[in-house]
Amino acid sequence: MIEASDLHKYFGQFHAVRGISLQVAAGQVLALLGPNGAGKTTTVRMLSAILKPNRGSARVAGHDVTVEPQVVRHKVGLLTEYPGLYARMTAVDYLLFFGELQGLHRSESAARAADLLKRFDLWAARDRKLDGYSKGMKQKVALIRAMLHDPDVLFLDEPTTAMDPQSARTVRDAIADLRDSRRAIVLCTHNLTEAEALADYIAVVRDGQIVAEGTEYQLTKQLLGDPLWEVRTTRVLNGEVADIGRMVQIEDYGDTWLRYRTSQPEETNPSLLRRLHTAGTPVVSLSEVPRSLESVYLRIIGETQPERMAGVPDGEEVPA
Amino acid sequence: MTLRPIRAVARREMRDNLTDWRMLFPVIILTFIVPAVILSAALYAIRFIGDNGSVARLIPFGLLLSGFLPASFSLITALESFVGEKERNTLESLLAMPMSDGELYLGKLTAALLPPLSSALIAMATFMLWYNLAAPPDIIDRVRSDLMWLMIALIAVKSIVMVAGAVIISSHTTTVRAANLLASFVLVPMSVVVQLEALVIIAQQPQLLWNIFWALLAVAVMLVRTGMNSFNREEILSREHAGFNVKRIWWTFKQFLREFHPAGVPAEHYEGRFTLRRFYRQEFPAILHEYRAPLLVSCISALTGLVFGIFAFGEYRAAWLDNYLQHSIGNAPDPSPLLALGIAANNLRVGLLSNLLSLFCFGILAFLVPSAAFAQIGYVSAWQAAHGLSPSTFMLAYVLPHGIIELPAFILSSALGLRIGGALLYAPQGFTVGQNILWSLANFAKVFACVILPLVIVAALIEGLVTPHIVRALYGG
Repeated sequence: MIEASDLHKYFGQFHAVRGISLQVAAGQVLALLGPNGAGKTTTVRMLSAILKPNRGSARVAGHDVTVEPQVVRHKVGLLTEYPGLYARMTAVDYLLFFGELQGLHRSESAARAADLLKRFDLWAARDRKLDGYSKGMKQKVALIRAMLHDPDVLFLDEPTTAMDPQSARTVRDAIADLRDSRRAIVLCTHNLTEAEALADYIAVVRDGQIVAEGTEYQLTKQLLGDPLWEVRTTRVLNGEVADIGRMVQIEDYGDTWLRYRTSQPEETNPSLLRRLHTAGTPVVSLSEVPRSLESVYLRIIGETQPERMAGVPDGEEVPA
Repeated sequence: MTLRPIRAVARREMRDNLTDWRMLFPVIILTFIVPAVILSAALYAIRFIGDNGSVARLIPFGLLLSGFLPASFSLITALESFVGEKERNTLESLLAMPMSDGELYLGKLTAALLPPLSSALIAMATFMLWYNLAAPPDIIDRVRSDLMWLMIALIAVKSIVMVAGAVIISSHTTTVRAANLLASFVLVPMSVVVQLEALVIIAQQPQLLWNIFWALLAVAVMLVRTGMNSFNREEILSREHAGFNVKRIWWTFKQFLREFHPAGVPAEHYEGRFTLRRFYRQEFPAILHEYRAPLLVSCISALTGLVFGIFAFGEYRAAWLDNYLQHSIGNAPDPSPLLALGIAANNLRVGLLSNLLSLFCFGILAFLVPSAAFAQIGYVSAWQAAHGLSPSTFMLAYVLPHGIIELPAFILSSALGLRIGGALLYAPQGFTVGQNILWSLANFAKVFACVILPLVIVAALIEGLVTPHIVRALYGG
């Protein structure tokens, strides 16, 4: 549904995006992670045919973003970084306006707006002016605007910013439903829990480049090593530690617990349990130690160094 | 291009403005109260002075002013049409919609134009209503229907010029504050036009207003076309990354001075060092080729000036000018280096000021320089012919010796100024508006120093030292 190859974008001297390639299939959620100014928004703007890439190509919903930008903009729903609503309009008028711009018939637009307003618990406030809405409500209206014309592809920049937990859950459920209905979704977020919960694939962007990508499992394994397991017992571990150390790589241990890594838990864990049982050591629990995406992300961002600006003429210092 | 998105954008914006009391209240006052006040003041002045003949000339101007004040309100909405949305973060969602740049631009233009224009027309109608009700019978014929329609046409075209100019400014700035500061590019020329109209009305030469109308119409068409051509999503969003950096501006300007490349080639690609040899052999011909359109416009300006000069002699003869020409033609001043110096200084001042100030008036001043020079030639030639003297003698004595150098220099200088003025309106692919201005200023600096300056000095030396002898020889003085 989204295919981008070697996208580059310059703003004068500033090389904002440096060769980003990505693919998102229908029914898949890609999370673009990265610090502010990494090039996520510029990438999304190129993919939603608002900006033209200087180099590289991209097809979205089967259309080239540079050759058919208007068709692409119709196929895409974009939730911008800021909700940016017209404060003096009511939610209904606002959505009807964008429905008209998307080419929807007024009745179709009204029905769809009503459906989405009800789903996001905004129906009761539909005739209130938008400047009276809370931040979370505004964010929801902006999300409805992006979904109004039932697009094949959605680009969502920080979709749950400023929302209370209940609203954030509603939005996450909506995104999951969209994924289930075969929409391709690109999620730009700093909320790593959200990315963990929703993304099928994660790309970390820094200085305009994808510096790491893969599924959460792949990234965690790549960056943090094999999964970490913890076994807890009811009595003090003595000789068992040395014994287990011959089977797996022990990371740490205490009187009644032990942490180890293994690349093949399906084989190692039953053997370890058998060994403890044979030694007469009752096991309370054996579980994988949760490793957050946050630690993966921080490892990636910490490892990559910022690069110099491109396009500087030889022998001349260009003022920034 | 389809009507639907244009209509949708325009309708939303107009509704937004017309439901805002901060906008609506002043518009109501300007539409219904101010015209009545203007008319009352004019009628009071007529009664107070008791001279219907002269003071009543203010009535048509009052009508024009009644329309202009609400029309000028369009600047506020037009100036913030794009940059205001950008500041409120509403623009990106609009840019993400499946409509063309032209449709979005026209929607914004329509929204900014229609309410103030309607308000101006209602204000003029209010003025005329009060005028017909309250004016004494002896001055009731001061605003004939043909004059009234002309006034309406003038207000309409002025509104388009103001709105189109302001929308261009709005789409090329990053903050509302910057847009408001740049509004002087629209307001100052418009104020000059209004003053000119006042003079023409008070001088009771209403037919001249048609010339102003056609000139404004040409500017309006140019601005709308320029706005449509120069407006694009890319530029608006790219400007988020632009900042005001004096060092960077100076560096870019110096790069453009180094050598000549066509507009749009980034400053980073300028690598050579400036040499006079390369400038005269390669760059100057390339600049002439690049500037062929402004050169053509300058030539048209000169030709128009010549024709206008001849026409003006037939239509608007002034006794004082006749007397001046009677006494001065054939009586050349004594040739002297001081005379040459004075002429050179004057011509250089005109060239420098008209070109640099063109940046603030879309090149209008640069356009006027060849017009004015050739209008003088046309007028005096016609005067010569009318007095049984040969225009060719005048040309041979007064124009050709130095003019053969000076007039092409003026045309070239005017072309450079037109490019400077146009730089604000349209940036070619690869340039921002700022880079476009710097590029045109750098070319002006190089050509002015290396070509125009020597030509003007040589022409002034001929005019100050040789022309007086030729005049005396041909006119027998």
